[in-house]
Amino acid sequence: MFRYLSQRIVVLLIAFFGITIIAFSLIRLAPGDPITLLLGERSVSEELRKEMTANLGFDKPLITQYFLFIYQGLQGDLGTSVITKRPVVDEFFQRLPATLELGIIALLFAITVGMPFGICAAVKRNSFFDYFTSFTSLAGYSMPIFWWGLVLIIIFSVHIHILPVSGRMNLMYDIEPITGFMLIDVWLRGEGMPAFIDVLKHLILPGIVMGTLPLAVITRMTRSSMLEILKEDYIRTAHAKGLTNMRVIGIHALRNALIPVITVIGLAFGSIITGAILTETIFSWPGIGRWLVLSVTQRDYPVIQGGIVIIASMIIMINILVDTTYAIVNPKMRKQT
Amino acid sequence: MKIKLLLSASFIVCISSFISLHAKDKTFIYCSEGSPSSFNPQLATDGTTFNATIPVYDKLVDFKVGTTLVEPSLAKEKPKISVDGLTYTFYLRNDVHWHTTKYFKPTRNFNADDVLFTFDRQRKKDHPYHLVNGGTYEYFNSMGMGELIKDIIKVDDYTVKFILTKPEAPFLANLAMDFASILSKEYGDYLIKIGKKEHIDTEPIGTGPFIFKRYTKDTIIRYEVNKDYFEGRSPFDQLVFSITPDASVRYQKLKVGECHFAAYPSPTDLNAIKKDKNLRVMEQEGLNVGYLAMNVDKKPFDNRLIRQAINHALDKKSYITAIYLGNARVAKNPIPPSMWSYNDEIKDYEYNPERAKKLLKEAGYPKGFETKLWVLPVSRPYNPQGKKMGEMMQSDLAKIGIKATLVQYDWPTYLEKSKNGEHELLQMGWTGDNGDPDNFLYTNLSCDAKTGGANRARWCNTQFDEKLIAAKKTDKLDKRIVEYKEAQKIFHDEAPWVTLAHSKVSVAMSNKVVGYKIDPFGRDRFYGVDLQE
Repeated sequence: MFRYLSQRIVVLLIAFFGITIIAFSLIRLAPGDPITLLLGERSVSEELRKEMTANLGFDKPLITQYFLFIYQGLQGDLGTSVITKRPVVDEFFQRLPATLELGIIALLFAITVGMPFGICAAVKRNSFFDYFTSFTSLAGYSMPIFWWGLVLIIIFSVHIHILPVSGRMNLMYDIEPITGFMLIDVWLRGEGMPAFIDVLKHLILPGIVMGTLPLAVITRMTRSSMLEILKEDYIRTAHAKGLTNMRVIGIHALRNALIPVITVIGLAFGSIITGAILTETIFSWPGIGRWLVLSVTQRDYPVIQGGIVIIASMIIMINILVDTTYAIVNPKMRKQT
Repeated sequence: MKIKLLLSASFIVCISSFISLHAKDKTFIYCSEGSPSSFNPQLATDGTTFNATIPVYDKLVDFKVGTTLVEPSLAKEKPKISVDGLTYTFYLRNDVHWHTTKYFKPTRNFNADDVLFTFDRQRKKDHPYHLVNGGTYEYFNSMGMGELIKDIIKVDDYTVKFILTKPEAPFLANLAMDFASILSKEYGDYLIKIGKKEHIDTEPIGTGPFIFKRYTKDTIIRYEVNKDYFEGRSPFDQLVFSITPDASVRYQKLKVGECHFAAYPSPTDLNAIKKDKNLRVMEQEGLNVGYLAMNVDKKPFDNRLIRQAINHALDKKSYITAIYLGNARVAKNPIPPSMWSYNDEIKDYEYNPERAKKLLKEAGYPKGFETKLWVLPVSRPYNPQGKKMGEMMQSDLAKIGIKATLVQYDWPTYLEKSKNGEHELLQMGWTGDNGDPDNFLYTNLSCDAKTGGANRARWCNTQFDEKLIAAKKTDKLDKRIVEYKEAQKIFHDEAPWVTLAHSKVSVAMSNKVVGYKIDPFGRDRFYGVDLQE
């Protein structure tokens, strides 16, 4: 187990340094710089432009800039945003709780709905329920997020008036964030149950929209994985031993079927951190997805490279966790290594 | 049972106390389109940041709301200008209070030190704040203020003199722009003392009608009313910016009453908003121009006849319908019609492919030629759909034998390459900064602008330049009007651009909103606005 994990960690560390080089160099290979963009249609003399570039520290040789980035990065300083003039680390961690709060809700929705549906579809193979699950998960997989979000807003916010259009909470509540997780902050600030319910209501639509794609994937993966396992000899033996259906499916089949599902959940969590751009735009959600995309269009070098490095580190950590979970769930993997 | 009753009762009390606590405040909610990059307009170039800083700051002079006319603000009256046009003397108000907030408590009123502090930060490299938070000052520099201001002298606490290096009539209009917002020197000194200089641009202290309260990243900006505002208190207790990036969602929020005012409604939603009895749309011609620049440094565009032929070949009216959805008018001059000195006597090049073909023949290209047409990669008010317009232009040009290949780049690349003159035909545009014709003509068409890169046609005409420089040197409006009208005539005959369109600016709001005046510069100003219940 130790050897297995240490091998994984070494591979992931190499990947991490590769990512820092790619993140740093790719954006600089693209023509145009932050000053050009800030000026837009305007222009200044070449001399003044050089002075402005030097003020931002982009006049140094690229190799020096890279080593400075790594050196300062190891000390927790990933530079300052060219646009907002704020430290990248602060900007990132101010936005992360919003993305995580929404991501966790979306994933909870996807797991709690997707797994039971996948299991039932596998057990009742070729039934109406199975076809219905396959059809809806395919629809969920192919749904354009932007359209789906607007449809839900028009139905639930504009016509039925039961859920808010966007944002994290009603503007009447003037709460200064402490942790950044609004579900927690409302209690810490003493606003109580009405504010908590309000925050939950604001999470429902973006949670559903963001959770739709993982829901479809988890449902399909659980179903196919369960179908594989249900054909195995030991399942037949368990039935022959007279075990209840519930016990066979819940203990013997599900535990083995979980491995690919855990992989999918791990990947879905990674994509939730980075891929929330559309959901965040529709629901005016102050997360990191939109922030990063904007930084690319604005050529905000420190944000792009800093943001990518933090996200890469987080995904690497998640990968290590997933690999560890494999080893715990499936004893065969421990023995193989 | 008792516990249940007790819980329900406390729940109701809790909700009702919350409602009564907040219902007293009169709050105006503005659904804005994005997050401000800073709370200091000196560091910004985007309208989103300017909108977020307008409630907080004032300037020496300002644009009269809804117009391009300059009027005194922190200055008591318009400045006295010396005969040689080199000295501007401002007499300042002495009754203007700085904001008192949780993070700073001022001990004095606004005075001349603050004016010096504001401009010296941007122009003096040795100023303690010059390099704080970047120190690039794009707007100040691109307006040439660094070279223009020779010195600023404090005569006494309430008198300031600006000494210029050359006479520059648009200087006063420049001072009404956002980068000239006045910051507090006392606050600056205090931040140096506590070692938090960088807070000057994120926790603003101003003199404006609203006091900055809190900014929650990408979500909300909260302001409280400034009860001591020198021009009178706003009727709102609170002003809230609810940041909503998607235009369709802003419309839905307006519809359900989650905001009173929405920035930049989508052109496709305008008809629906107009039909809604609870909402209304206000429209005005924007201070902008969309154009097609022809690079005169490249053959065959160095030939005036070719440029005129292209002017005749493009069916501009069809672009207004298809690209701007009718929310624009055809442009015949490089400045918009609402601007003083607009030359209405000029007759636009009519859409006439036959005439265009004749001109091509006359120029020695009877069969046309091949060229590259660069299409605008971003949506701008002056050209919302560059690619679609490019396709329409391509088809128009094909009718006279010009085979244009469309070229696409991302925005930074587009700016960089076109600044270096790598293009042949290029879609571009301009939105006015200060309402002065100089800001359109000199900035985009002068010989100096060719060197700087903003003159995308790379057209340098001595006669035209002389007119613009003469207009800069005098503060007599009649003389300036004559010079600019003549300059427009030269521009028309030489045709370095195809002037395409002046688009309309639209805003959407609840019917309850009264007193709002649409701003020609595209800013949203809420001082003077009220809600009718």
